[in-house]
Amino acid sequence: MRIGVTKFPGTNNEQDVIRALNSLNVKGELIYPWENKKLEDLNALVIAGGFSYGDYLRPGGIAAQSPVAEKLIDFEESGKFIIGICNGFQILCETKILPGVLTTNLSTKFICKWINIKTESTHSPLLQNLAPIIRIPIAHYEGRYYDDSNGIKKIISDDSVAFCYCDEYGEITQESNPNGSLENIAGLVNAKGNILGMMPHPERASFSYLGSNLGRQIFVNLIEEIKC
Amino acid sequence: MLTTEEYSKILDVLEREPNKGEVAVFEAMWSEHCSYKSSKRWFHLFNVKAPYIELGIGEGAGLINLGDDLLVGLGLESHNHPSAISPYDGAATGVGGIIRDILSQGCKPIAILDAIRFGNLEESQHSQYLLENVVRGISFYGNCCGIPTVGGEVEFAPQFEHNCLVNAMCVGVVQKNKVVRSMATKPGSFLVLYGARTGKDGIHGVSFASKDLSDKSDRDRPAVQIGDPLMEKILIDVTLELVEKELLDGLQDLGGGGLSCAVSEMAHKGNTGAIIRLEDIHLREDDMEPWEILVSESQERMLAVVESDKLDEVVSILNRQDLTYGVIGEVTDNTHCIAYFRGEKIIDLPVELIVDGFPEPERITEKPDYLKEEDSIVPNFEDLNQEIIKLLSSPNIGSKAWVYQQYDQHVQTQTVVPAGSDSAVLRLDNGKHIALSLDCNSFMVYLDPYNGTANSAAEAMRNLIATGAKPVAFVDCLNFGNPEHPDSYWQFVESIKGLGQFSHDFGIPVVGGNVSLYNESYINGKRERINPSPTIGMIGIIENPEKLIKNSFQEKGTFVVNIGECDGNLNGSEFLRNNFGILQGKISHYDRQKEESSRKAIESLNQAGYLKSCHDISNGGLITVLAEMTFENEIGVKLDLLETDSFNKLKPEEFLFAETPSRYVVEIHSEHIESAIKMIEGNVSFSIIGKTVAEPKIEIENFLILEIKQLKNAWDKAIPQYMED
Repeated sequence: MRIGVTKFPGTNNEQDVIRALNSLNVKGELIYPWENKKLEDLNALVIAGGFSYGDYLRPGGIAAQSPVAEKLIDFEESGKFIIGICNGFQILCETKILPGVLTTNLSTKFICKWINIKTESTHSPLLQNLAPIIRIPIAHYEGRYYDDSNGIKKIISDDSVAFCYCDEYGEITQESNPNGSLENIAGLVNAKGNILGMMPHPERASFSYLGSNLGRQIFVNLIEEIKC
Repeated sequence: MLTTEEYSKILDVLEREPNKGEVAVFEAMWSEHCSYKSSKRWFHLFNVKAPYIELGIGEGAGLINLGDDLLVGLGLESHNHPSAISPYDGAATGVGGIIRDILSQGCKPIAILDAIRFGNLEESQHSQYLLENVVRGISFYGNCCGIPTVGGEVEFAPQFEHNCLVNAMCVGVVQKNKVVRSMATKPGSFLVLYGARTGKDGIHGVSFASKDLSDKSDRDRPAVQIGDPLMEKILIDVTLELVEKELLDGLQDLGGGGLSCAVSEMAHKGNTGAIIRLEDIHLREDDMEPWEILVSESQERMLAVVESDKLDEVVSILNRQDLTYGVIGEVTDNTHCIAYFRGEKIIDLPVELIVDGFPEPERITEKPDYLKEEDSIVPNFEDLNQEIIKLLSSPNIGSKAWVYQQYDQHVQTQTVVPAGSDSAVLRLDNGKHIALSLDCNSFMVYLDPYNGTANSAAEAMRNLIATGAKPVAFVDCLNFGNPEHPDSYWQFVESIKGLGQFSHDFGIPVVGGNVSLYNESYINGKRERINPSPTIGMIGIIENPEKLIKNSFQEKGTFVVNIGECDGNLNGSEFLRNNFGILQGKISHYDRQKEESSRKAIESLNQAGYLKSCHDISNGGLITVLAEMTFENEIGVKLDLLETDSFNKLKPEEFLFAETPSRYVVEIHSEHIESAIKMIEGNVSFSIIGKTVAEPKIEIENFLILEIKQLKNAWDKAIPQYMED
């Protein structure tokens, strides 16, 4: 099984994702922006978080122009899995593989804290057997999900809302929305169910000593699906 | 500016006039910031020894062996003056600088902590602006580099209105056999400068940092460096690869004094010399004069010493990562630092003279006038309840979440206890846990530099003890006023004595640090000086993660015990300062015996597994600690103080607000309380002060009932009330 983890200049969560994969006995391998050829040999790709190219221009904007990113559409079409986390979600939106944009938090500040999310979409194998309420950290400056009203309608009708921000009881409230995302959207999945983008960090909620291991199931699902 | 005495020394040694480039080098290297010319003479007072220290004071990182040859590196540095002029870039580059400091020893940076100090938020829009932008700068830089910012401290006082303080601490890890030293030992090795291009920013940065700020300091803005965290991140990744492959024979970052400092210090430590060619340095601006290239403090640059047989591999790695580099010179055996620019000799100086040749200036100490004041008298107040709310609303006491939520605390997935607790806890790859605390109570140091400093160090230690860690070493950042003023220098010397005493008393050595003087200014002719602020960054080890202690109440129906004794002294307390604007009188003295017996009590109770939770008592006194312990789980506490001696002897406000050192509050399960008491009885003064309860209230006898919700609300809003619309 070969799972790639992208490493753009400025990516800084790649080792964290690899740590989570290693703990599930999978060796993640780093994929540099120029290594587009390597993608063909991979079973799945995790686009790790951080600040690719310093978030200069805008988050994910430059990474989306890299040789690796150009191959992402082929990867998606072949039905292989991609999980984009934080900056990875931003890159997936920048490449239009997922709809909408991630823009500056309403507070206009970087926000790092533990929040709660719940799964909305049911069709993706990546979203099976998750805890009803997942305690998980966020850490971003541009995580406010936005799309126009037609876009939002389509996302909902396509069952594409992977995760919503909620309170500790699972209620989707304004107070539990940390960044002003429309519809409390914290993550999206495509209609086919093989592409997941999310602002919260499942790799940071993969070990109980970190405060939660409820994000781990997402990696478990990925590995199980590849085995199938 | 060089003094007359310094200039004559240069003439004596060189037996000629120094040229323009050489003067620039001396100005940088003999500045207070680089030379420690007012401070070094006191360092012998510190305890610097312990068997586990692999590298002490003198290089970028102090290195501690955790027991299995995984070393932890520590560094702590100030970036005060730049942050006062340009808060965003000043703070960002402060973080960048300390990261590269520990990187110089080959350490992978794993955590950042910051100690920041500003004027009162309530009165000063300027301080609000500084806080906003300093935090943004730290957040922008640290987050982008992928290093979690896991703790620190924030303090507000009018004394910092014109001289804010920004101290950044970085912690890293390196395998013992991969350590790189900041020295050039082998003549014939190459000097490779890599990272960002050299520009005109930060010219004379160290000289700017080594004089008082004034109302004209804004003109010094070009002395402030500009940071690029993406470049820093790439620099970190590449450096760690070079270290891992053992390709470097020496490494130092370019900080204060720029290239002239890095080259001469590395040659000096290695007892060698160096020849450099300035035309081989990649420049950001074309029109730089050779001396500017020598002393530019452009960020994100490292100078490596590479042996000739390894140069090709180093170059190929730098090329692969698309990083700018130049092979700019060689190590020589003639103990001179010589720089050429297109064949023309720009400087030719003995490294010994550059690094260590400054004449030590005479410095005089004189006890300041303000210390002659009488003890403070507590003014009458009507409602104790209101006073408590007012205290918890103080930005010095209240929640710092507004600050630390802007920092990525979780990247690298090692953060077990993030910011907001007594100390931060990280789990290292070898399964060991380290605890980190960064602390200083500048008000106490102001009132009594000796005792205030020793007590601040003891507080850093208590923070670790209250988390279940064993303190092993510390770094310090000594922020003081102008050493040429006898009263400011007195504060400095007393403070060092206090810190030295503490380090010997507890066998906790200092492994590094930084001195920042000249934190005073004349504004409209009025002298403004900071509270003397020796910030202390301490590291502890938690051998067994099961012994990690929580800082908030865990269960209802447990016993709440106060370890140590309250002396009722309110001088210097946040209660008097925040609620009534009083800062005077004699503070509680540092007491080794008491400190040690309460420490031992906590350690043995924890070892026996009796502690449900623990919190040390510091700023804001007992009531603040009790309130903080109730917040997380909304478990209340009911105090029964009839048997408590100190309560019966003291006025309620003294008992609740005094910040007497050597104290902790612990929570003990009822099934353990008897054995716990047996364990500590006779060894430490303590009192059972009450029990936790289900009702979300703090109830004290019959005279005080406080709703947790109301307390928490005040505490939560302490900073946001001034920073958000």
